[in-house]
Amino acid sequence: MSIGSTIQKAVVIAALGAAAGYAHWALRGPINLAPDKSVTTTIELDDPMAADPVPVGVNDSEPGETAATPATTTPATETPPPAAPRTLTLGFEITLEQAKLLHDRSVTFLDARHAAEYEAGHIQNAFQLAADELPTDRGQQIVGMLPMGQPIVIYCGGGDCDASHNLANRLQQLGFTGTHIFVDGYPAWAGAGLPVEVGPGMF
Amino acid sequence: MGSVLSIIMRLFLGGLFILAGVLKLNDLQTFAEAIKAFKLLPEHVIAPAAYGLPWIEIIAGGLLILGLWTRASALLITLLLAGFTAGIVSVILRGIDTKCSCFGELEWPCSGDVGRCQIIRNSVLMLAGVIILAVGPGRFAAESPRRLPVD
Repeated sequence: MSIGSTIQKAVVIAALGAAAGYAHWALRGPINLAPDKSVTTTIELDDPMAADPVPVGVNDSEPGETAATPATTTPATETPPPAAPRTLTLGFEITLEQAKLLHDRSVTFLDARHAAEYEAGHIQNAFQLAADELPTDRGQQIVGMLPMGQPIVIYCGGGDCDASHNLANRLQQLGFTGTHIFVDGYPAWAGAGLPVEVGPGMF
Repeated sequence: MGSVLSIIMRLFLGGLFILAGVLKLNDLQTFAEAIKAFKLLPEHVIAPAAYGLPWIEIIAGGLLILGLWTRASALLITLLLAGFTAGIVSVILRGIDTKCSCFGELEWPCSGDVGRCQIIRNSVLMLAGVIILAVGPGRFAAESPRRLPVD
């Protein structure tokens, strides 16, 4: 058998595989790899349930500290608080300060990294769920507990990591409309000294 | 001897490639995400590659087991492995942490992020491909002429 005919046949096999792949694609349709980035969530900044009032990240004082200031020292010229609650609309990708706001409001956090990285350290109360674990029994169990239509914050290792976007994309396909990406992820959260936990999660 | 070596290598390599292809087709979303994580292909090529590659693996693996177009299948599989290995090396050099998804959800024989294990595994598989290329289909192959019983 000549080398030329071997190469020709190898090309034919590759073409057959490509044709089969094309037919499969035509039957099953495209693979969605990019999450919908038009997601927004509006939160009330004056939420009395929130542990830390705004401005976040600017004032490191204890939550109760501002309230301890005697009201009598307030000059009469100071503007009264607005009647309507102040709100903040968050885009699909959120910053560290915005992630903290949502964490203070007990929003669900999902760690899209794999178990070993999660166990080495994760945001307090976050569930671990990597995108490729979604089809598993454990993945389905966690998905079943997620709040449909409510904000969910997803993060991974920050920087280049795709894991949080992949998970957001898959959750959107399942109908979860409130997925947000905390872009800077765990390194930024831990670096800012915000609450973290070590070890396996509850699920 | 050559025939026995050939059929052992063909069953081993062909079987693994069919398995790899089927497992990838089983979870195309994960495979497409793995291709994306390698950051080698432009966005619009990822989905066609995710659909095409598993089928090429299955067809080439099947032909290898049957012993039809044996050397061509072995050549294609060896070239694919060389390409995959180059991709893995480039991922390691660029410091990207990602899973290989080579065998879908089955992390065998390497688990975790891509690293030296996957390179060694692919080198062993490429060696099997080169052996088949050298030895040829052997007697136990569909393309080999049947010997009529001398009676």
